Amino acid sequence: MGKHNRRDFIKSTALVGGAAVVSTTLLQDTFGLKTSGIQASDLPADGWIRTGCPAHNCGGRCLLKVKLEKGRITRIETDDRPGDTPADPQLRACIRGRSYRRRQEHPDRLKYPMIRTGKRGEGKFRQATWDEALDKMAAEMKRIRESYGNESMFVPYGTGSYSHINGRWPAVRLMNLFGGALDYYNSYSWACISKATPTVYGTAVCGSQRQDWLNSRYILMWGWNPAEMRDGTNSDYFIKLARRNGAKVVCIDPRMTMSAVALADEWIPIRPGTDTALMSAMAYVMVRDGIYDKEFVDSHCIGFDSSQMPKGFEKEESYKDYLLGTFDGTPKTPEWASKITGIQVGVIERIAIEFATTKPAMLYQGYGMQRRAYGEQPVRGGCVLAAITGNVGNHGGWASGIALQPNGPFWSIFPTFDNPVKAKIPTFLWSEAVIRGTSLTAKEGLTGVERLNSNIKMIWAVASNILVNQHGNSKRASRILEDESLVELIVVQDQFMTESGKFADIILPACTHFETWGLQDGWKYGEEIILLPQLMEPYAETRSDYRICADLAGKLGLKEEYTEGLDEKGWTRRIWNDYRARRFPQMPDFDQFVKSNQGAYTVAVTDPAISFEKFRIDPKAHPLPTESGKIEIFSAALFRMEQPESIPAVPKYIQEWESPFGPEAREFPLQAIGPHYMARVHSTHDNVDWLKEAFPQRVFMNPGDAEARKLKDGDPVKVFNERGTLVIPCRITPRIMPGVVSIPQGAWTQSGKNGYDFGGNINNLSSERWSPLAFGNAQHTIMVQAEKFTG
Amino acid sequence: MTRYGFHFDASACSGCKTCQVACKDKNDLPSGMRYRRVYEICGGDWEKDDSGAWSPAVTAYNLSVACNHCENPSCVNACPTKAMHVAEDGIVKVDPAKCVGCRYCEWACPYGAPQYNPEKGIMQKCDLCADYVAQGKEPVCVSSCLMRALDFDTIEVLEAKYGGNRDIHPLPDSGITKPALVITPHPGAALGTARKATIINREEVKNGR
Amino acid sequence: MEGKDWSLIAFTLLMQLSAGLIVIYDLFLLFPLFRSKVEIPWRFQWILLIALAAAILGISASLMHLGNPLNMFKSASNLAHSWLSREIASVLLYTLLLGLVTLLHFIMPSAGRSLKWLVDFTAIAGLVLIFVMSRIYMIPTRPVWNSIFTPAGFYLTAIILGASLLLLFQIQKGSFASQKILAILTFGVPLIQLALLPFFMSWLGQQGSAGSEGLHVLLNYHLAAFYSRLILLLLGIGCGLWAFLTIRSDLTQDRFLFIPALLAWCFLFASQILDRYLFYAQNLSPEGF
Repeated sequence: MGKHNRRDFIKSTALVGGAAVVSTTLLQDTFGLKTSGIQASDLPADGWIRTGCPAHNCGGRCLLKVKLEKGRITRIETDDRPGDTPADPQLRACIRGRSYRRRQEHPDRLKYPMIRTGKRGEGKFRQATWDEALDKMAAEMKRIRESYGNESMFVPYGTGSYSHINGRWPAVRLMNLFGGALDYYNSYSWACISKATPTVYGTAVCGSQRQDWLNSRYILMWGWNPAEMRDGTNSDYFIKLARRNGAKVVCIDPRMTMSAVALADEWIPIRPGTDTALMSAMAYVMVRDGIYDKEFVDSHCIGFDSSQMPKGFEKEESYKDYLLGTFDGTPKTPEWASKITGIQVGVIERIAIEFATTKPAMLYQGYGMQRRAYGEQPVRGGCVLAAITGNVGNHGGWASGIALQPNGPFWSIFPTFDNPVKAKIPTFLWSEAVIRGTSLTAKEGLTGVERLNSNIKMIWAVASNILVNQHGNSKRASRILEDESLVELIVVQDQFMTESGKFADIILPACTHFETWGLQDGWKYGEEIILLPQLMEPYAETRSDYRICADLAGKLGLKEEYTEGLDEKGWTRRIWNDYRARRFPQMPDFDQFVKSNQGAYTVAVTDPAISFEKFRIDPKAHPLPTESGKIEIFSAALFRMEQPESIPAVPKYIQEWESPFGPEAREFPLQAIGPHYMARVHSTHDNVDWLKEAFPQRVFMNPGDAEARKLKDGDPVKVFNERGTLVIPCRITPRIMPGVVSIPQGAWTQSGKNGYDFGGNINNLSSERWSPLAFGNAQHTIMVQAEKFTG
Repeated sequence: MTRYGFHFDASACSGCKTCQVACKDKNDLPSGMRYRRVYEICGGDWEKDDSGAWSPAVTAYNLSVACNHCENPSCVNACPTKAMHVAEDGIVKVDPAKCVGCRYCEWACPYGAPQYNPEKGIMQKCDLCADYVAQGKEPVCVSSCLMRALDFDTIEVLEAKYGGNRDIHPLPDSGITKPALVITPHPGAALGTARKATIINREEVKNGR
Repeated sequence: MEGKDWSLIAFTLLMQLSAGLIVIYDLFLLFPLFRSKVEIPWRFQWILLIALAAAILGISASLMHLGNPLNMFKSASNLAHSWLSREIASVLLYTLLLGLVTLLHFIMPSAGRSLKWLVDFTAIAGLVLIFVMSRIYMIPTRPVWNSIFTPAGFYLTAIILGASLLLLFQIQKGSFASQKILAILTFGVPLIQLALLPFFMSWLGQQGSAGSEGLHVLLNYHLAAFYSRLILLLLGIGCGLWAFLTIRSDLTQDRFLFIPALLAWCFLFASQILDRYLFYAQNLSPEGF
């Protein structure tokens, strides 16, 4: 990265800070907008202010205590409320929050708008004024709408900001006022699990408040690593407490993850992509030994065996048929599964018996195993295992699947109006919509319309690095975006120049969360609202995402409708009141809360809510929102799709299209996975020195695989397949299965000699292919070879 | 003299290094200086059975170590200028006015606590957040821990609460310097010696390899 | 290998050269003269001056490894506990004594014989210095250094450097007997150093993880230096033997001694530099903390 010159940054911040008074008046006069940062009277005497960690797309939602001195943050601490009980634990920030000063004052922060000078993708820009940049953007938007229609315009998936007032939501609001834009559904995170869970339960809300985990006696952490990726602040801590309460914890994962080390009594390594095989074998053992919950299956489920198939499907393959091999001739025995998963027969038998007979038990599914080819299958498989062991709707149990919390947090709450454009594509297929949008049909997941009128012609990426860095087959994405005749306008709105930013025609610099107002709630779990007051003026010429959109609205003549007369603080107050109306009636008044410097409003949970409680007690009176009203082990809806090889009606193990068992394994024998890394939130934070020192980007490899390649720890390794080549140092560790390498996702591509990536971005190896039912990214299905890099 | 110390619950540490970075923030440390280091201890092997299934015999756990403010500090004994000393509050500190930057304390310390500051030419290290301790607060590493694996108090209170164990493989024998560090071992540590568990994240805890 | 290690390599070698010179000088050049009641030759000034220069250069080198040399005057404050403090004190004592001896040699040349006790003191101070210096390294946190091999190596280096330099010094000037003894030391002591090597390597292999890492570091990262040191030692021994065999009672033939003696000194000096480099390359803590 080179030696940082922090003096430049501090100098300009001081200048900005000093000119704050002047600029505030100027802004008020010129734009009629008030940027009202935190008032001096709101500042506590010691300078410590409670605020939220700018979470980006972290699963955590934590509290920071920052010290403000002369307009700069000089210290960062965390939640120090007394108590720290399971009902209301402290929201402690992790390494990413604690090192945020290094990001906030990073010398590489974007300072001003820029307009492209060279060819697309070269990364050559010149400085521009806001007026020039926004005028150009507005003119282009009008031209593109005129030539191709609103359906050609697209604000892609982007989760770099989750503070509700910022990120892509203000952009979506503006587009909807401008006539709409092509929309997307699902996500890079949860495509398969969010689609497949309702095929079993009819809903995605099948989880519990996490305090209920303390009631469990057996917890299978299946591909789940909350200690590292923070699946909700304190999720790892809750599992620790559950274990203290007597739960046995087993981690099933190709790696001995941080969670496995800190939380598990046993670690079972499994080949990536073979989870459904293990699930099937476990179910087989339960059937063979008669240890599944027969009563619960009879009363609450459908499709388990031929005695309970839905009407009209009596002759079709039930789940038990699949397990016993009645139709396909292959019983899903532990021996069968052992060859696929790499797990010993005795271990499979034992885990099956333990999970079936220890009550109550949880099978918590992580998201890595569904971000793969046929990722829908392990989701259904996990839900079915939970169902046939009767762990649905009971305390200490867990229905598995995506498990959203009842009455849980809102993913988005910023009002965006309705989108006049009805067309929606799956999130991951935006690159298809660029090259062949008009030929997409329902077969490619297009909904809302029969056909698109246009390919995507404009992309406005806000808080998003999916254009290039984070998309499957990154090189292919960059080739597509390089072509100026395809997408005619690319605007990237971000805080740093990312790999995606290099393909922009216009760069709009956003300020950080400390430099504007916002608020956050719990992400997936949690009972809190965290306020992020504006602590300082935006750095250099940056503006908040909201402000940028408001200014652009002005250029498009939509100012009044867009802002409704509110600035960032006004919107934050309005969203605060929305929360009070919809979720937390006891929330204090906004202005009072700001003055209180409390930071987070939390609700203690003493009686955790669980999903399906009523359904469990009386499935007839409280049926599930499925076709049958019951848990659909066999799904008639899936059967009707008539794609049994890739979308079976019962959960099945399907060999992946790139696997260690196919012909591709001869040339590329190693499975590569790209887990979330402690040092990053996706690609955010990759440029922070304290984080790189703690967790440098490496390819993690088993000692046996390393020895076969004559590698010593730290040697530079070439990892490659047909799609690309990475060169990064290796970390040799027995904490990963032989035959598997791990290259944590989110590293920024650094192209070097021969077009090799020396930054270690796994998306230079991943594929653009999607999963059959959910149209989800199968980004972890990768086969590679590795060898020593000699220069 | 009151002697303060840490309790470290190795069975709960995930290796997230939040403690390391919380400390860096409090002390404004540049990259290359780590008052607290999180060592990843790992060892063991993999066996394949006749059917090709794997069985791992792997031990892994983490050790978060700052300065142990030893009762018999080898750094204090080693220091030629008496810059390294036991202060009145029982905390082992470096007096920057006396330090000559010879780095002998760095060699003498079994735990890697003294850190050389190349810009100032002197040694620095964890001071148990002495300013916070004086205010009745905990050191930031303790209050930052996501898994609540760190605790702080006088060594008497810690021993009463957690027992007297101050050893875990592969930390040097506590008899050498008597560190004020009470440890709850990770279950895997029992096999640490047998599985030749060593520090496998060297580049993350020390400059150079 | 860090920059500061080179200054420590220079410091230890130069102090050991200085002390070795004085000790050998006192034992094998001065003592015989003293016994035979011959006057101390003026040319011995060079020995003293070289030894003193080496000591002063050594001290300067040691200052270069300090991050904050401004505080150096405090470094003898912890004599009660710190071997490093004691070393500073020993270095100062030795150098002061040597300076005094040198000064007196110049201003009171005739008092040479009556001041021999001062040279004895200086030589003893030099021996003590080498002992104290070696104790710095013998700490439990440096298992590779924590054995008798360290002081043994330091003393052997001192003798090797001192004897081989004095041999050169005695060509065509010194007595037949002194030349013989110096030549024996010049090939014999490196031979002892060489013979100790396999014992050291096998001892190292038994010192747990730090020991095996020490071996690994030696043989994987410093293989060239390891072998060069061996070769230079052998060459030095060979030239020392050659020198020994060239010594004739007829001093006019002494000039033939020059080449083997010079070669011996060059090879041995280089071998000791590499030997010390390899010593510091094993700055390894047990387990890597």
